[in-house]
Amino acid sequence: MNPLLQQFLAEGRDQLQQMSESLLALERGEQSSEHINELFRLMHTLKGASSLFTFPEMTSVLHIAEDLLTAIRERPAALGRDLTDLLLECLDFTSLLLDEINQHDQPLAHGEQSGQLCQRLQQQLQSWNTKVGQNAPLQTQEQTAQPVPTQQPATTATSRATKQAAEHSDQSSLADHRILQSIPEALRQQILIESLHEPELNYIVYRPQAQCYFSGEDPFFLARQTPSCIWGTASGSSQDLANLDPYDCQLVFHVLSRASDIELQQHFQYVVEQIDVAPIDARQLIFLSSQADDQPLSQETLDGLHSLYVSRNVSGLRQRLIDILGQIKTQTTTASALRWLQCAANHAPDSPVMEQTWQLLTRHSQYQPTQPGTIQHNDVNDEMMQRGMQEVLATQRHILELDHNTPWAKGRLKAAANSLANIMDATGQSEQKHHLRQLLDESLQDFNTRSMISWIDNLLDHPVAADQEQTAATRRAPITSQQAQQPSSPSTVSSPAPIAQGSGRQRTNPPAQPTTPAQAQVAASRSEHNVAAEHSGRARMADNNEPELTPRSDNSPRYLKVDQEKIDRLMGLIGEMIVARNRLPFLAARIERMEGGRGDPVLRELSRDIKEQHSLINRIAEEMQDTIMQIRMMPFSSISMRFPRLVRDISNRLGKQVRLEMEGEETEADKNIIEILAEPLIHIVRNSLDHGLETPEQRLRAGKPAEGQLLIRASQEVDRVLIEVNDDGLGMDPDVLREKAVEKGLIDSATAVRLSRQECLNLILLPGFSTADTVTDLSGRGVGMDAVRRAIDKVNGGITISSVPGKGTRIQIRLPMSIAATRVMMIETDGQLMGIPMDQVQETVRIPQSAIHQVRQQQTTVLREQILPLVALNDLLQLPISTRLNEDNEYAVLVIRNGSEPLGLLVDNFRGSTEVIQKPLGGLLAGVTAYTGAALIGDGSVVMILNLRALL
Amino acid sequence: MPHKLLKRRAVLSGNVGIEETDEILQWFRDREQEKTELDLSDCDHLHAAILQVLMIARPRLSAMPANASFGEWVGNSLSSGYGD
Amino acid sequence: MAKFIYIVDDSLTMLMSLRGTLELSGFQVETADNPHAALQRLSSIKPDLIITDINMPQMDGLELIQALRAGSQRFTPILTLTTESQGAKRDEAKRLGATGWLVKPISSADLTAVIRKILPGA
Repeated sequence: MNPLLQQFLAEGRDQLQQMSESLLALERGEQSSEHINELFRLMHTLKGASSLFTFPEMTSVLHIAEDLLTAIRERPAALGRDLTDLLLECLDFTSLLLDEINQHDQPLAHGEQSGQLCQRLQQQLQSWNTKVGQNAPLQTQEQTAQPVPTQQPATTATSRATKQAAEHSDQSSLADHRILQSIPEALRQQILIESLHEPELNYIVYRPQAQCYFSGEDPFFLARQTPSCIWGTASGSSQDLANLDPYDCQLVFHVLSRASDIELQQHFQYVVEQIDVAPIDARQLIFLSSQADDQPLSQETLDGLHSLYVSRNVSGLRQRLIDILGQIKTQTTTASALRWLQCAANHAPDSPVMEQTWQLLTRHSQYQPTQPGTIQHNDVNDEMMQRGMQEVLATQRHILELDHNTPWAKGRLKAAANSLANIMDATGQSEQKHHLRQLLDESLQDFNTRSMISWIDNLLDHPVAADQEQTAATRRAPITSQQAQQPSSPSTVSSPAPIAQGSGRQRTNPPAQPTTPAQAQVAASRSEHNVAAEHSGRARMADNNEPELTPRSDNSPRYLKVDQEKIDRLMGLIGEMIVARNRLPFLAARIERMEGGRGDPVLRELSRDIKEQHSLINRIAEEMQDTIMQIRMMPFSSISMRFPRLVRDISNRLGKQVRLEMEGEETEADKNIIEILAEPLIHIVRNSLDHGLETPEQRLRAGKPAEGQLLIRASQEVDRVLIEVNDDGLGMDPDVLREKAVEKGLIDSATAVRLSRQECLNLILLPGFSTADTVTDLSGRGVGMDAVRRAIDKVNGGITISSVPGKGTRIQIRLPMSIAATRVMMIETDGQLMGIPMDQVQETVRIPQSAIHQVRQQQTTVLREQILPLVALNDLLQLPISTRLNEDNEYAVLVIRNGSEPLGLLVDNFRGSTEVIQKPLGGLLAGVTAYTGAALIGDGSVVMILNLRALL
Repeated sequence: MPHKLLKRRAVLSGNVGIEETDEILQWFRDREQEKTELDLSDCDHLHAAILQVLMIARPRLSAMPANASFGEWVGNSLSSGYGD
Repeated sequence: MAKFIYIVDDSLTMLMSLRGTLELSGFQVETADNPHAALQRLSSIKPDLIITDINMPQMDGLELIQALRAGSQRFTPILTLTTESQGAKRDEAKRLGATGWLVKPISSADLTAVIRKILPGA
């Protein structure tokens, strides 16, 4: 797999994880703007990265998800469960594809799922956008016939990745605005007029819950009484009378009101989550009501209107309109357009509304002025033009530098961009508008106008003659000496050609320049720039005259990603080095044992040197070992980070309310341990959710709060890690467990009766305890706690279960912090050296034969007034030899911990303790349970490490 | 207030509450194939449940209520057309 | 026709004060200081609005709401009387079928405003 893809996978997974966390935090209502920005940033980056490869299904989903997040950014607080679920589904889908790419280098085909997700995302986007957004002025320049308000933030809104999504979007945008379109024209005009001095106008969509009548609500009454309501209607989904359930409220109420947000929140205070309030501009109500009939105007009439319009002869226009309207039929589309124009001329002749209504008329009539209305090149000379342009540019620049913290900052930005676009048109550089649009979108997102200001600076600083009469394709730009000095590589010039200098008439011959014509360069670099911008997710003006935009703050922490394999190899090497180090004392001893070794000063010195080096190497090796251990240490959070999501999903599915609290997530343990811990913990948590915690109703009946508590705590104790899972659920009844065990034939009734309370609880650890009838789909079929116990045993850990019926259950897992090197106690039996992990050893003691009593089959002794049962290791290992006594008739007894009771192990001799790297037995010996592994010790011999638990 | 359900005309008066829904619905169901009329001249309000019935049954609004805004709401809703 | 409001609160002072305010505004009022009695009574009358305290010793206000919704008062608007800090209980009440809530102490102006907002003809 190529490294770029690998990188993408690694980063992608991280990003998905972080997005998941942010999403859950948002759902909980925490610090919304921070999380939503983070979420958006990550999605944007991931989408950009994925588009580098060919994963169309992934990219299309991420694309629309990004659009949705962009829209949500406007209102981060209201993230409901459905939306969160949908976004989580998208994350899961992406994660699935990443896994497949990891395995097969390509994702598998998921057309249907991808299409579905896209569709649902699109639906959410549409409904989110019934907050009708501002009509982007740039768009009206480009012949959009739609009177309908455009969607908000538009960076990627215009390109649709999947066809399905596109179809759906057209459908629902009509549906939403069909409602506004149903407002009669006269009323709309009235609203427009009133809005000239009363700008506040809100469009409210109130969606009552289906069962609201059963809460005593009458949503129609509430809607009707909206303060400052100027128009309202109800809409509903199609149903037929026969099957109608009248008590199921399927109505949606639409209201136009002049009340403020606060007043609206107050009015709808009891159902505030069911309303969407969107400010709208009355200008968005300016559209034609299309009639069946039409009576078009003659070219002459239109020309007449046109000249009145451009000369700003308002009174003349008003009169003319009265005349024309008197002559044509009222119920025609043309009449509608004229009435709008009239409305503007009568009430707002100096405002942009005038232009808008004029456009309405000319577009409907498809009017082309008989004489061109644009300023002739002949009328105004280049110098005036240039000066005018400069002034306009300077003004726009000034505007862009104004304080952003005003409510109209965005509008101002768009207005400035509009002016700039007009300039581009006037100087014949219309194709620049695309780039300008991009800059505008980015500036809107970041509230950083520097890119636009730089763009203007470039225009102001480097004037170059541009020939307006030629088409873009054949445009040549004679360059002034200034520009000739600019570097010629396409990637550095990414701004449009500056304005014509006053050399219009006296144009020098377009010379064969060292650099290619500016426009062509621009065209070439523009597409590069676009591609680059999209993929890097930042605007970058690499021109050395222009400042770089502040890159978006990179939140990535300063960590290295290292291949786990490399660390493992390092560990292995250190281990080998330790063993090699252990050899040195033997070497030193051998020297001393050599003939004359004791006496020979050279040899003695040699021996001493070796010992010194041994110490040195020892120290270094231990430090290295420690450091590597530290590297391999992973925080508990690497497992626990998946719990919030897990708990959320499962509790939702089961209809339970659970609050998850986690403590000690920063507790660290060796990577192996953490990994081994993951599955058992998940299983335990699932058990709690499934069988432990009750439904809210059950809990309320039991006098508990409806919300259950699940506490997962990790802590450190010297050389152990403790993980606790606590729930305040049903708990376990020892007697119930007892019965069940007998029922399943795991123990016989005689044994059952004698079991202590704790032993009953431990019954759940027996294999076969959970079977099909007790296990739901969630906890896994027959996996059971015994698998958990086995995993824990494998690393020499322990598990303790405690429970109070009705109150809750606590499961505690203890694990060693690392399993790399084990300290073992070496013992000898039957001439063989064996090791016993030090943490099982309590003490070593020698006991005279006389102190041993035989009670039935059991040998015992008394140690510090406690009875100590004894067992011979030889017997455990089924060696037919009896343990040896030493010269003083004493047995070497290794006191070990057997569960909670001490046990004395009779061995031939003790051989000190040492550190070894345990390796599991492989091959033919793998099935032997008596040993957990073998290890190499200093003299090179192999020592078996005993598995006492298995033996006892 | 008591409503009057005539042969083809429903006269709703005062405040029509949710308790009257079933009867009104049945009246419209019985006349599903016929043209019905709605007289609101004496009506102050009708519960959302009833509004929903009316929006499906689509009677002709033959008499508007005294309260203009109420009348507009009902008029707009009756002609809003289902879709979605 | 005057609208009929039924109020349940274990505090007689509260009942008196509410009754006073509401009768002045032209409502017809009946009260109960015992939720069990209220439940009994409400099985045979049809008030236009019910106002109930949520913190009563004899029966949890939430229980009362549940019982009313399950029984005779399926569509009657119900307002709960709560204290400022009882956000969770308010939400729970809403979930169980209350229409809205009032936060004590409530001014008579606010009280009548809310009632007019939920009760057509009030």
